[in-house]
Amino acid sequence: MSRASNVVVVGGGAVGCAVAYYAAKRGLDVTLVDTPKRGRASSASAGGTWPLGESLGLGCGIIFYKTLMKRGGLAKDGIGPEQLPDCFLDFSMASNAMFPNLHSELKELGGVDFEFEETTLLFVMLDEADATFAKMLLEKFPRDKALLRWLEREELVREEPAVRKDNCGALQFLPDHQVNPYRFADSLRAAGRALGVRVVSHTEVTGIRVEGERVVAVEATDEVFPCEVVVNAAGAWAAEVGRMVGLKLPVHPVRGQIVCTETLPEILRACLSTSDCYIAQKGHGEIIVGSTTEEVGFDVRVTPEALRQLCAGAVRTLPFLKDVRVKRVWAGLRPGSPDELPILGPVAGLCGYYNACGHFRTGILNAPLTGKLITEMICGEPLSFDCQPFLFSRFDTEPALQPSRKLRERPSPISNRVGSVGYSGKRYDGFLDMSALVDGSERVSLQAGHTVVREGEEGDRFYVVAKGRVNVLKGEVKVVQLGPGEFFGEMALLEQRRRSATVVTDGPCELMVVERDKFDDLLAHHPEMASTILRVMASRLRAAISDR
Amino acid sequence: MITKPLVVVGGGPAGMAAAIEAGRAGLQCLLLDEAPAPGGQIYRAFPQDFRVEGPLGLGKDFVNGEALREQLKATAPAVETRSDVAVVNVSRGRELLWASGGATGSICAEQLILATGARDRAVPFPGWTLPGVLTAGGAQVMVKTYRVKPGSRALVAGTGPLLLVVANQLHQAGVEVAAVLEAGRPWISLSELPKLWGEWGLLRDAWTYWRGLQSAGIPLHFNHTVFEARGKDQVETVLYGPVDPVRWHPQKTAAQKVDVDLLVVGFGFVPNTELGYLAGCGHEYDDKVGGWIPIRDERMRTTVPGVYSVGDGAGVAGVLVAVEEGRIAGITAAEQAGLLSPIDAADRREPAEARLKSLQSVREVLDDISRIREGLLDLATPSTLVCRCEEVRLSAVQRAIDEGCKDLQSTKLFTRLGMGACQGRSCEPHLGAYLCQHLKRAPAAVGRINPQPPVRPVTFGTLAAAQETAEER
Repeated sequence: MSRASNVVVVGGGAVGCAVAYYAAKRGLDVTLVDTPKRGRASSASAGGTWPLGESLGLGCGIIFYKTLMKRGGLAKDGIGPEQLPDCFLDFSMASNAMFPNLHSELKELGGVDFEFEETTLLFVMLDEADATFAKMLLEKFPRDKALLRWLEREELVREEPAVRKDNCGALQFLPDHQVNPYRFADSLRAAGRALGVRVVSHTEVTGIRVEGERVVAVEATDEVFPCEVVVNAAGAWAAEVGRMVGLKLPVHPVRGQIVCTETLPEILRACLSTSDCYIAQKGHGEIIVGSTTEEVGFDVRVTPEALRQLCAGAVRTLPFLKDVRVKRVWAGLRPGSPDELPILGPVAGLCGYYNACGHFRTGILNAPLTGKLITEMICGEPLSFDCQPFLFSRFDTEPALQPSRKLRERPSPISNRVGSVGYSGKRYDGFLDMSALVDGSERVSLQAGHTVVREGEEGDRFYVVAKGRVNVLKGEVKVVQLGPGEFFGEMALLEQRRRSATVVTDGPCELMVVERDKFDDLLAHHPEMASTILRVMASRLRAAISDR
Repeated sequence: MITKPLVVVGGGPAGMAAAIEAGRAGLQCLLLDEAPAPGGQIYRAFPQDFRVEGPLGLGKDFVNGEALREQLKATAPAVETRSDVAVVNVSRGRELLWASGGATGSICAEQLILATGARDRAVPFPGWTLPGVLTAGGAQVMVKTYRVKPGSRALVAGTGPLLLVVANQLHQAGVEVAAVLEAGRPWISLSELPKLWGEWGLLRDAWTYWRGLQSAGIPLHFNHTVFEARGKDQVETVLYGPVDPVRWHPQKTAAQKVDVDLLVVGFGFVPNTELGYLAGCGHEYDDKVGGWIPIRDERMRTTVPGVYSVGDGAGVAGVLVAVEEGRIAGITAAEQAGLLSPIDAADRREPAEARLKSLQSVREVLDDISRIREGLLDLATPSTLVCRCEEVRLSAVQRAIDEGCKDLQSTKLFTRLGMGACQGRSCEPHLGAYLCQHLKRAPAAVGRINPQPPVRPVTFGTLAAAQETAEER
C-alpha cells in the first residue's frame, strides 16, 4: 500500500495536471496517476485558446453551417451554427484571463515554458455566405463588442499578407490566444512536482474503491493509492473511469485530424478560422491546419479524405501553402459531451468523487479555471465561479430518469440527451400532405412493433409520421415518442452515416418515406419546410456531435 | 478509385523479383518506385545522361541489377513499372495514396507487396553531424552512381561486410583509406566455416574484398570503432579506439587520433516499415535484423490479408535473401489470384525456398556478428545531437526521462525529438534502444515514434488535388 493521499487525480493531460497543480498549490497532498494513451487530446491539440471563437461556434460550427447553405433553402438571415450558452463563454473568458499569470508562475516554479503567445483569432471571410455569418455574429455578440474588430479586405491584407487577396475581410476576436499544447501539461506537471505532487506515469488505473458512499482508494495495475478524493480527468477515457464507481458519464471520443507543415519563417500574426478549417502558426514555425469532428470510437488513424479536405481548405485561404510540404498528419480524441459543456464537480450519492472531464475542444483553454474550481470544491470553499450549469446532474432533467439508488443500473444519460434535444416537437404541418408535393415519396402502413430503422445500420431514407406514433430508442432505452407531423431519419440525408437510434412503431402507423435523391427537391421547392428541417438537424447534429 | 490486382511498392531487388514472378504467372502488376529507374539502393541505375561503355568494369552489382531489369522488362505488359512515384500513405489495408511530381492519386490494390527496403542506421557520437561524415550508403551512392570522389583521406567505421565493400570502392575511386574499423569480432571463425559451406559464393566475395584491402595496405581493426569527429567547418580529425568485444563499450581512455577529411560510418540498416504500419500490419521487434519488422509467415504474408512484405524492409538480410523473398511473394500472389494452381505455385516457390534455407545459416552468422550492441549508446555525450532535424541534444532526452517519460512518444512530445523533417526515421532506432537501456524496459513498452502519413514529403497543393486526379485517371 502506498502512503495515504488526500487527492488522486486520474489523467495527466492538461486538465488533470491543472487540477493537480492547483490542489498542490492549495496545500493538498496530490498524486497524479497517468498512462499515456494514443490519441490523448492534450498532445494532439492545436493549442488555440479561443474563448470567443469556440463559444461562437467557429471551426466545426461554421463548417456545418456552410453545408446547410449549400443544401439550399436556408434564408440568408437564418440560423447560423448554434452558439454555446453564455455560461460557457463566461467560463472560457475567466479561464482565458488566468493564462498570462499562470504562464510566468509555472515557468518560475517548474522551469517549463508553455509558450503563451498573445495573438488573436481572425474569422476570415472568403465569400458572401461567410460575410453574412460574420455580420450575424457581430450583431448578436452577447458581451462587450469592443472585444471584436471588423476588418475590411484592405485591412486584412495589410495585417495578414499571406491570406488570399480576394477575401471579404475578417472578424477579429481580440482575447483569443495560443499556447504550445505539448508544453502546457508538461509545464503544469513540472510546477506541480515542485509543489510536491507525486507523478505516477505509465500506470493504468484499474478501479476505484468505494466504501459506503465514500471513495477510499484508487487501484492501479501494481499499486493501490488510498485517498479521500479522486478526480476523474481521464479525457476521452473518462467514461471508463466513471464506470469504476458505477457512473455512466456521457463522455465519448470525438476524433479530430490535423495537418502540419514543415518549419516555416514567421508568416501569420493571428490564428485563422474559415468555413473550411482553422490555421495557426506555432512557435516552432510549423503551421497547423485542423480539424475534423468524427465519432469513430477510439480509432486514431488519419483518413485520406481529411488529408485532402484540410489541405484544400488551407490552400484556399493561404495560397502560398500550395507549394509547402506537409510534414505530418495526426489525429486526437476530444472528450466529447452531449452539450459540448464540460462536466465538473461532485455527483450525488458519492462522497469524494469529482468530475473534471468532457472538455471537448477546449480542455487546454478551460484547464486553469477547472483546476481552480475543483480545488475549491475539494476544500469546501465558496466557488469563484458558478458551476451549476456544468454539474453532472444537468443530464438528469427528464422525470423518467431520476437517479436511482443503484448507480450501476442507470441508463446512459447521453442517449437521453441526444433524444431530448433532437426529437422534441419540432413539427411542420406541411409534411402531412407531403406526398402530394414530392414526386416519388411513398406512404406506407405499418403494424405495431415494426422496426423502421435500426441503430447502427446504414440508411438513406427520411420519414415523416403521417398517422400513429413511433418510439425512438437508444439501445434498450426509449428516448422519445414522435407523432403526426414529426420526422426522423434526416441525418442520413445529409451524409452517409449509420442510424443513430432505433425507431419502432408504437401502434399501427402510417409513414411517408422520402428517398435521399428526392430530398433536395423538397428543400428547393419548400424553403419554409427546409428551414424547419435544417433547424432541427442543426440541433440534433450538434447534440450528437456527429461527423461533420 | 482504380483497382489493380497487384501493386508492388519498391523497385529494389525484392520488389523487382516479386513483380517478375507475378508477371510471369500472368498477374497484372503495377510496380511503383520512387527512384528514376528500378534497382533500389544496391542496384541503383545510373543517371540517364550517363553512358556505360564497359559494364564489367562497374562491378557485379551493376551486372546483376541490369539482369533483373531485363527480366522485369520482359514481363511487360503484365507488369507496368512507374518510376518517380512515392507512395505516401496506405489506408484501410490496401488503399494507396501516391504522389509523383505535383500529381497524386489513389489506387486500391487487391493484393499489395511491400518491398520498401532499409535505411542507414544513425548512431550518434560527438561530431557525427559535421560535414564530411557520410553514411556507408551515402558514400556508395556518390562513388558508385554519381562517380564522385567524396574526400581525399577516409576512415571507414561501423559493422558488417558493407564496410569492406565501401572501403574497396573508395580505394578504387582514388580515396586514401586510413583504416577500416569493425566494431564486431573477426567475421569468420573456423567453427563457423561449415555453416557457410553451401554459400561458397559469399565466402569468395568476402575473401575478394578482404584481399582488396590487404593488397591496398588498408588496415582492418576488429573490435574498434569511431569515438568522435572533430573539425571546424568539416571533419579534420577522428578519435577512435577499442570497444569491449561483448557489448562494444568504447574504451575512451585508449583513444587514438587520425587526420582525415572523410569519415564513412556504417552501422547497418533499419527496415522501412512505415507503409506496413499504416496498412495495419502487426510488427515485432528483432534486433538481429534491424529492429521493428512486420510479422510474416513463410510465404511473406503479413497479418493483414493480401498484404505481403519482402526484402530488407521486412528484416535486413541483404540482396540475395531479398530476391528470393520477392519471388515467393510474387508467386504466392499469383496463386492467390487463381493464376497458378497450388501445385504449380509450390513448384515455383521450391528453388527460392531452398535458397533461403541455404542462406539462413549465413544470416545467423552475420546477424550474430553485426547485431548492434548497447555499448554504442555510450558514444554520445550530453551535448551530442540525437535528433538532427530538431537539434535535440542527449541532455534533453535525459531531462525527459527525469520528468517521467518512459516511452518514445512521450519523449518526443517533451523534447520535439522526431518531430522534424525525417519524422523520427533517423533517430527512432537509436533513441528507442537508449530508452530501453536506461529505463530497463522492453522495446514494445518503449514503443515507437508512430509512423504517420505522408511517408514521403508532399505539398499541400498535391494533396489538395488528390480526389480530382484520382477521378480523372
